[in-house]
Amino acid sequence: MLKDVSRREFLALAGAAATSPTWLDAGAAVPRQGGTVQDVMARVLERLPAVTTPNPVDGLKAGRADLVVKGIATTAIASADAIRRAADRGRNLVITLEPTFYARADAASPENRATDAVFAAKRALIADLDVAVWRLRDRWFARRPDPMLEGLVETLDWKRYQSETAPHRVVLPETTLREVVAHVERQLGARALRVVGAADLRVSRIVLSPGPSAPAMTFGNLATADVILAGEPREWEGVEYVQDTITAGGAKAMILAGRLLTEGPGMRVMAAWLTSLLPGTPVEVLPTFDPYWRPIVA
Amino acid sequence: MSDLMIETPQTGRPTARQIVDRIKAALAALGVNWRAETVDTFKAGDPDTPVRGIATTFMATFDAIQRASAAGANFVISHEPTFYNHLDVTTSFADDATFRAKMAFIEAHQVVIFRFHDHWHARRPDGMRVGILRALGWPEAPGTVVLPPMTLRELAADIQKKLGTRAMRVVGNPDARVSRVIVGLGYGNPPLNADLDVVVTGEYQEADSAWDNPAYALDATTFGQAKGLIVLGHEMSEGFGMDECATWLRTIVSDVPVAFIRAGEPFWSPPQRTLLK
Repeated sequence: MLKDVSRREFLALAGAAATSPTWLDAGAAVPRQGGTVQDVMARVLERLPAVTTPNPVDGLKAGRADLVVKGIATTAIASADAIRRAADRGRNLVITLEPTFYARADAASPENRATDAVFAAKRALIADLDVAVWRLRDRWFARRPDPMLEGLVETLDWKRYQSETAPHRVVLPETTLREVVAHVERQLGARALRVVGAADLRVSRIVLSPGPSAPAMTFGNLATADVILAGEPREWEGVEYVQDTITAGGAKAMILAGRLLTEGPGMRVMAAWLTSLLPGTPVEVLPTFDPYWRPIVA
Repeated sequence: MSDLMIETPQTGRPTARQIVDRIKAALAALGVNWRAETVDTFKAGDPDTPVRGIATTFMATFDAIQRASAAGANFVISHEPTFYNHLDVTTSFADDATFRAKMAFIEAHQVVIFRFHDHWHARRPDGMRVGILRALGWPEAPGTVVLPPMTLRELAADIQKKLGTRAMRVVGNPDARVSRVIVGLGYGNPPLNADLDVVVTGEYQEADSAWDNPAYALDATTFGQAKGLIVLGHEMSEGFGMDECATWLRTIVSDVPVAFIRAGEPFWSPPQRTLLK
């Protein structure tokens, strides 16, 4: 039962992201309305598949577990700006996909970051606004159907073109790569897309690989696709493979839209899901802004 | 750069293995001993092939190999992998059409490919650092470069112009006044911190990495600090360093011509929609 678990143990369990649902006993001890951060975390986690992630990253990263939740904001990244926007709108629990404190699993890395001004200002901001920040990635990614694909397809307005059996596949009416790039740019609010392939290429079959973009998604799908729409494939992996396939005569392309920008839409899916799971608690997604811009050289 | 002609070689030319032995000896003389664990190994072809010409490049893409071969080089020295992963493990590509086409070309043209990564970085000065700093026209010293104060927008535009990049990306307030800049190489990213205004680098994991510079630069900007991140792309960051590598190789290899083949920025970007004034 939750009440028999100390706060520290609870956080360790939540942080380990490998909790078995059995310890929660179907949430019998969890209030159904409102409640604290700890209550909300328990209610959410009992509805997500357990995972055995070797290096889990989930957990409460800042704020009090006993804070009474007035509202929830989901975001790809709990930037200082996102936390302010959440607080301005009365959402005192921020659920983030990416780290709050600038390193994997929110470690103080490098060590001197923990004492520097940016780190301190963020800690102070969170304390002043009395906000809690919960990272929910490992367990959220385990949800099926894949919420990140669902969100991206919705944002791109491609639902009617999405494969039912292979949700990472979209078949558009034939168009050009240039037009697909312009559409993606507009729908995601991208300011600095990068593209491999000829702008005039006729394309139709798109494979979606948002977020970290595992290279296997490109290696395994390029032969039966025209375009890989990815987050952050690496230049010596997926990018080189696309380049070489083009050199070998393939009519192929890749669009790199960035990790955060391709993860943002999935957090809207999370907000919608939480709204149904937590009736009475206001939930909304904070839009993800492209962190990048490009200079204009006359 | 791809149209340089390599002269018809003379007889008694060295093999690729002998060229690598010369590299090892030259580095040992500089105090850089060959490591037991390294990615700097032969990746394709027969190391005992006599070398007609050497081409250095950022990455032995299929295109770079074709251009090297057309220029008369049959030994490609590549900084980055040939086969799409850090260790150039090819087992999973055995039936892959792209891999097979690339291998077929390499075999048909008797090209030998060697990776020169760890030890080229280990030389002092780091050959990659020399390459990018020279391209930027900045002092060729390790550590922080102190530039005359300017805005992040001006700095970014200056870099874009000097390097000719099409797909550079910047994080931070364009109007922030910056001066203290550090240059990271390739996938190596110095952490942005209180002692720096800008990190210039090649490529990185955008979040959940050893340290996340983009998130740090965004938050520092929100807090009113003058911090920026300029992301060149991996090739744009390290391509010039392999030109420097060709120059260095010519000091130890005089019996075989050495050329630099620019692999080239893989990306283009759509025209700017939101003008940042």
